[in-house]
Amino acid sequence: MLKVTFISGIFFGLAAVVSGAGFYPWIDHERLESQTQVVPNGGRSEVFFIRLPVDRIASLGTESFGLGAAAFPAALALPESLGTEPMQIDHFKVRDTGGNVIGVASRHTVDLPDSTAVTWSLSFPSRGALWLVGRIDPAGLDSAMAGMGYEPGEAWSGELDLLVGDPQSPAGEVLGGTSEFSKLIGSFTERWHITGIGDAGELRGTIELATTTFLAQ
Amino acid sequence: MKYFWTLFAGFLVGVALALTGLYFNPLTQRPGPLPGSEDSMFTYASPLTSELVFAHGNLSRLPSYPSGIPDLWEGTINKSALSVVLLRGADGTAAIASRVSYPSEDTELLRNGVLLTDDWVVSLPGQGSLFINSQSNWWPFLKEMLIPVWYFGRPWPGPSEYAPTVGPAQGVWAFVNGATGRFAGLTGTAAERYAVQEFDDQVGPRQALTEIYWRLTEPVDTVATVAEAP
Repeated sequence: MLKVTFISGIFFGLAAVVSGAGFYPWIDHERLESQTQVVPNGGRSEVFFIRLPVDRIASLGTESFGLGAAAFPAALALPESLGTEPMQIDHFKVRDTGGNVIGVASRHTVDLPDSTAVTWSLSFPSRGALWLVGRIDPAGLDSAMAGMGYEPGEAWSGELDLLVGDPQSPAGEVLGGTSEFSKLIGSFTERWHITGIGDAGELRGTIELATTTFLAQ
Repeated sequence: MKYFWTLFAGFLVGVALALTGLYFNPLTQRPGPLPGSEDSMFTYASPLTSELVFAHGNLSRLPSYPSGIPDLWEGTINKSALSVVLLRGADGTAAIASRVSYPSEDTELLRNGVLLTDDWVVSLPGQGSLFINSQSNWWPFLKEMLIPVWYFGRPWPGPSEYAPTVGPAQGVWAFVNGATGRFAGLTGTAAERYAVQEFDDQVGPRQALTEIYWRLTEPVDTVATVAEAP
């Protein structure tokens, strides 16, 4: 009888470890309720926010992107081996409409022969990555600020609401993504609401990414 | 009481047998794909020691840099890490990549291993950008190097190579999806290979050479392709 008990114990031990290894949720990212809304003609909308400057993680780029090109942290710079082609690389924390940080965004702006393209990857560990691409007017922010009386090198406060995008076609494209975003397509707009500029040129305000998505057929 | 202790002893033996089996489980140690002759190949320094950016949730002993970079401390992202690396092509092409990494919820030790999800955006100046979504299995690295050296104080066993990419495309390759410029509309596959050349028991892979290689194919519907992922 002792022999049977011992062998039973072995099986219990094997079963416990195998169950734990195979079925225990070793990784379970904290997830907040998604702030999505159904839009009238089908699909869903979800808006993401980035608060400047608190949500900046790192930014580096060429000076040709003007106000949006301020490096953060200040010592950060593009390596010389990338050449002189204009580009801007930004990283932010991303918030939902409730103001909760839910992800990390990478934003790459690259000057192309016929336009300036912006590429967003929004990574939400509990949901996957959402991919957005669009075109922007790289001088748009600087010219709009100049119109508001901003002088380069000086602090400024006020209100500027700027739809960032190609003036002919301000909406960009949602290219799907991974996990729960993998079957989505749609459009998005990028809006910068600027409320001030600090002495060092750092922007204060909010970036709003408003997405409208549909399930791909 | 005698039966209880007998059962308990058997249980411990069973646990030990199962742990030994997991440690040598071949399913969680499959190497990823190696580069083909047609692949575009770029090298970069270890994401932990690259020259640009490394930020994480401050749950690791690894240092963030550059100085002044904020931690990813919020509960929803504190297991994530952001690295920005300079990619160097064999022909002198340079690219910059942002990589957000976080543990995958598909992690389990029977079939998959310890999986890390990487969301990449890679941009080539004047040419455009592309997305890469990969899953890497770090169990072989943890088992052979990180756990023995970091946690048990054993000497570093010496240089070693890892091909950690295990998906999500066909359980083998990472997905590549073109975003803008000359990559727009293209899809393909990618993988990585790491050569750890120097390991520090305080900061991990102090010196490593990493390769990422991708192969782009004919333009196809991006979303449909991604949706086919297992």
